[in-house]
Amino acid sequence: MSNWEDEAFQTRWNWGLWKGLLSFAKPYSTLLTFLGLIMVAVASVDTLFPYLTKVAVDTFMVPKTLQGIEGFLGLYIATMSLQCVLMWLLIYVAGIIEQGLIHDLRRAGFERLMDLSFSYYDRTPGGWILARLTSDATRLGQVISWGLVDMVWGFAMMVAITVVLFVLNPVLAAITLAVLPPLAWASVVFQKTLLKWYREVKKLSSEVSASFSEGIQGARSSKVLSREDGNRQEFGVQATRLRDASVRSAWFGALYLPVVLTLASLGTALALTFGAPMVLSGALSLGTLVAFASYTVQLFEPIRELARVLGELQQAQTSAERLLALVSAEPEIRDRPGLEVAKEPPLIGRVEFRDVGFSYVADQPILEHFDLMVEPGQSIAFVGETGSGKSTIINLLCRFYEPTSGSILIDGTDTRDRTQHWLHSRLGYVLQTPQLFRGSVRDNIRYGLLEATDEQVERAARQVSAEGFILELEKGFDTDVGEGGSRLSTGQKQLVSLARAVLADPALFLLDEATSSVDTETERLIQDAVDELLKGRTSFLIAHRLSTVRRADRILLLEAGRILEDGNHSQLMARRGRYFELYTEQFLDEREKQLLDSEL
Amino acid sequence: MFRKYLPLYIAALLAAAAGTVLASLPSLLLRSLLDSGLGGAPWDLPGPLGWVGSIPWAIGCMLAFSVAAAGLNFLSGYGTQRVSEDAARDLRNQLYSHLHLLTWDELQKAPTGDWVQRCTSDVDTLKRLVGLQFPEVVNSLLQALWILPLLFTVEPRLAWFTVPLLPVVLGFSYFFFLKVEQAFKQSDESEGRLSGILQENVTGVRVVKAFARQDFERLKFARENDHYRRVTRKLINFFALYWALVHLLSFGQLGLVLGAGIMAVQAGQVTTGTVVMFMTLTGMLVWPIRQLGRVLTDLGKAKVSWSRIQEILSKPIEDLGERDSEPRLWSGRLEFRGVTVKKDERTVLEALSFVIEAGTTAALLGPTGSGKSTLVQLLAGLTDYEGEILLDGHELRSLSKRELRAQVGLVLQEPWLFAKTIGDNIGLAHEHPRAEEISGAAALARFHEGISRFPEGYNTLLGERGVTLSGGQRQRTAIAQMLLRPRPVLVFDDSLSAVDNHTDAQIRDSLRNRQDPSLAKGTVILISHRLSTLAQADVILVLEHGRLVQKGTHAELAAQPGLYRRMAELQNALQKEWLSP
Repeated sequence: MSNWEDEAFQTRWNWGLWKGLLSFAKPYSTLLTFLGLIMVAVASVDTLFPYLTKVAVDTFMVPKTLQGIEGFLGLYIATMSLQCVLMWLLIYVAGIIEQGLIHDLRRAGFERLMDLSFSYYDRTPGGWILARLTSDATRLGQVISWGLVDMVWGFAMMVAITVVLFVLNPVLAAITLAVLPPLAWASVVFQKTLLKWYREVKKLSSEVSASFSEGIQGARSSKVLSREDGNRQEFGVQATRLRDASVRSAWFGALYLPVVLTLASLGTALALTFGAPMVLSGALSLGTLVAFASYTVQLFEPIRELARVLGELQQAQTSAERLLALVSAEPEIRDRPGLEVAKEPPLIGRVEFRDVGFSYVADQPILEHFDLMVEPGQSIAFVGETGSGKSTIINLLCRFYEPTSGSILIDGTDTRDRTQHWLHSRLGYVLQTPQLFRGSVRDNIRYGLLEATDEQVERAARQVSAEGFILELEKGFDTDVGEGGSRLSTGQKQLVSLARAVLADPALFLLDEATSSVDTETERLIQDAVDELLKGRTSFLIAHRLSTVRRADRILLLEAGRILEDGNHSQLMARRGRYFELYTEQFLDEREKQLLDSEL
Repeated sequence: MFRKYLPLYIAALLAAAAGTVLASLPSLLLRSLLDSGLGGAPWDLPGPLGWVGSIPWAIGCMLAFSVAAAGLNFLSGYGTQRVSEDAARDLRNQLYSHLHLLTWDELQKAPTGDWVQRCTSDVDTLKRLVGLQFPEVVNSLLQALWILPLLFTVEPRLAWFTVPLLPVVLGFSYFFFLKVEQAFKQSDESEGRLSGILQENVTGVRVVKAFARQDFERLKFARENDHYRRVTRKLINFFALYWALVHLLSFGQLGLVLGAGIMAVQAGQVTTGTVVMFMTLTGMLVWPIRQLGRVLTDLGKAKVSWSRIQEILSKPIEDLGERDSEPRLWSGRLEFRGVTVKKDERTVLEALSFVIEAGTTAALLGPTGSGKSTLVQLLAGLTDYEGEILLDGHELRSLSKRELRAQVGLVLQEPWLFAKTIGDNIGLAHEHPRAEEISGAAALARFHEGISRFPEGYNTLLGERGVTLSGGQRQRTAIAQMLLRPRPVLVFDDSLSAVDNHTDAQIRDSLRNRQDPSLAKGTVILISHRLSTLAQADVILVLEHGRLVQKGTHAELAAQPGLYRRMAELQNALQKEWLSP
């Protein structure tokens, strides 16, 4: 099973994991220590309040005197104010640590993502990566900061109460604290079980939301198939399972507090039963008895916190494991040591595949003994079915992957003897599904050349005839394109990504053409833009439109990783081979569609 | 719909109220224990507790009341949550059913993400309201309504000291949570942008790498990451201030009672036990109030959620009619008499009249927007119309949707496949399809061999966790779904567009020759832009601007000027193309 599907609940402590996290907590060690001290102080003050009531009873109420009341009130106000300050400090400092850790974990993860090779992205679902740097990072930050808060507080509070009780009256303390072990045991059992059931509820609930999503998207298919009843039935089963699991965990959750409260009141009863005779015999002050009664009620809270935190820490191990797996993943493609970007020559554009073999998965070769020689300035179009190896050749050319055997030479030098930056900073790549980034149209075009002036950006847009539609947008070049460019149409996105490539002025141009159709007018603009980019550059095209294919100097028809036909359009047409077949079929298809579109 | 849960809910709330009353009694007993049992005053517990007259009895009663209060606490907590879960299940089921019955046009423009949000998190918001928040408000109110009168009955002079800061705490927490919304929003928005950048970098990794923009992206991410930390820290600092002040106010309130108590004891007005009791009960009042502000602000959110859910539930739905297990199949003769369709005041189809004989294949041709898709939607009862459409003499409106869709099978151009195995997807519309029925349907759709080549054959899982099918494979799956059950009329809404010409022809072949004992020969209606497909139809209907402009066979239409002939002439253009390099 692959690592991102492993959601199993870990019940064992994994110390190695926490050691790995320690390096992230290191910058905060001073703050963490400080926070621990604050929590000890908070717990001490919390323990002090019932004691103050005891003092009030024994010093003022029983003797009915006000002697020294000023001092007492002063002490009360001072304690109250101290607690106010401590409370503020505690949340403030824990906030720094929590947000700092989340920030650092995310930064480390993102830095690593930028270094990782393309193969990592191919193997790992995007959603998985996203969840590591969002929910997992958040959970770890929380559990380390607030977990420490609750743990130290719970522990200190328990110790403080125990100490105070023993100081006040060791015998009564020993009797009263008899409820402690069952209290602790019940808390641990409850918290563990509850966490397990919450997980179950969470899992079922995400299944329900997946069903809603599928139900809505598939509603039209369900309608034409008259499948409504079947869907409803299946959903009903799921909804009931979610309900049952939720009710079960609600039942158990509702039981916890009554159980510990009962145990706590048992402690109070013990204290009163054995304390009252002591008061009557004068061995115990009335105030002390009152204090015992309040402390026994207070005792369950630190225990509940401790049990909860331990459970959460255990749960957070899964998050820690997955996040650390991402942070410590190794990039597969690295620059050879000793290469210096500054000393590398310009790229001219002679490309050679020399006996290249490649496979994504061992024993399933995509390319074998592949040879290709491309002169500078030549444009090559690859034609072939899905799986024929077109995309792989582009991936290798971009050095997103490296050949399993053989070598790729650019200007006579093996690409492995150059830096990745050398190649990538001289590459223009336009994708099948145009990928834009949140920001303005201007920002997106400038992505091709960060130091470009506004004038250069606009010229690039003009060159690919994108200026027209851009100026018609709400704010022209400053229009926000939305996340991933979602506010632009597919055709518009393609034009912007072409402008981006023109601005980069690459020595090598790669086009992975879209299959999705755009309207005839945009189609023409895109063709012109591609023409512009082909001028004087070595170009590789994965072409779907016949007009693009025909423009290429050389057309390579691929099948199962082999070049089946090689030549320009008229040569291949004259051959009456596979290319001829594909061309005629697609020619009619394209023209028929055009005819129906233009009739509008 | 939710009325049936009301008795249990009210019982649970009553249990909570009883629990509150019981939970306050131990402090009353402790007071007597301290004053009478240990202080020598006469035992004077009120009303039903009047019989308690010794320390052991007092302790026994305290314990009994605490345990009973804990029991009631459990019952009310469980009861309200159970009601909330039951109601949430019902609401989810209702939403799911409703979504399935929405009209075609509504489904076509469905904002999936938004609706899923409404069906999940909005339902959860309401669930929390019913199960936790509302009971909490009721509980706090009842507590105040019981404890305050109790305090005023026992000792009015001291009771006045228990109230002054309570409204301050309540008001402060309410306004704080109202105010902090803004900071929450800022933090959420920043996190949204942060994951947006992350998302773009993961999906756009090719672009980032191909342009060598890693450093640029690092900077962008770092900037938003810093910003998120800043705004979230601000939010946390708000909370630091809030909790610090609320602690101050709460302990101030308790201190006030303690101070006043000491004075009153010294003046001989109240007993020590009374002060201890007042301290305990004031504590019971103060702590829940701190949370009340948050709960009250959350009530506003629940109202919004409710209206968002109602918005979906108030959308009009179809009536499918009764289930018919063994529909009688007809021959499939179709007649249109003056059919007109208007959508948003625009005439989509106008006065269409024609007949398609049973057992024939009819092809629809027309430019984009000519009304072809609307026409095929009419056949499956997905759109309202004026005029008459007769299927074997039955007006479509007189048939229930179920009856009609058992006769007419519409295959969509972009069908949705479910995250099940491919075999289950093909057998979707069938109760218990046999394996050979499924593979038979797949064979008719020319997909059996393709499926057999998958590593797990018909058991191959589709969707995110399984295999992604190509457009043509999806279309062939959808065709197999329809062919599994005999239907006299099959309609293809350009649903062969993604398969190649050769397979297209094979599938049409198998449609023509399908052996269905219950049917003489099915009627097929297809939309296509392929001349090869159109040419083989028995009759071709050409639509333009919602009107039927031409009707005839290939030979007839090829001889007339019009769209069809222009289509046919493309062949000649291809010939020219060969000659000119």
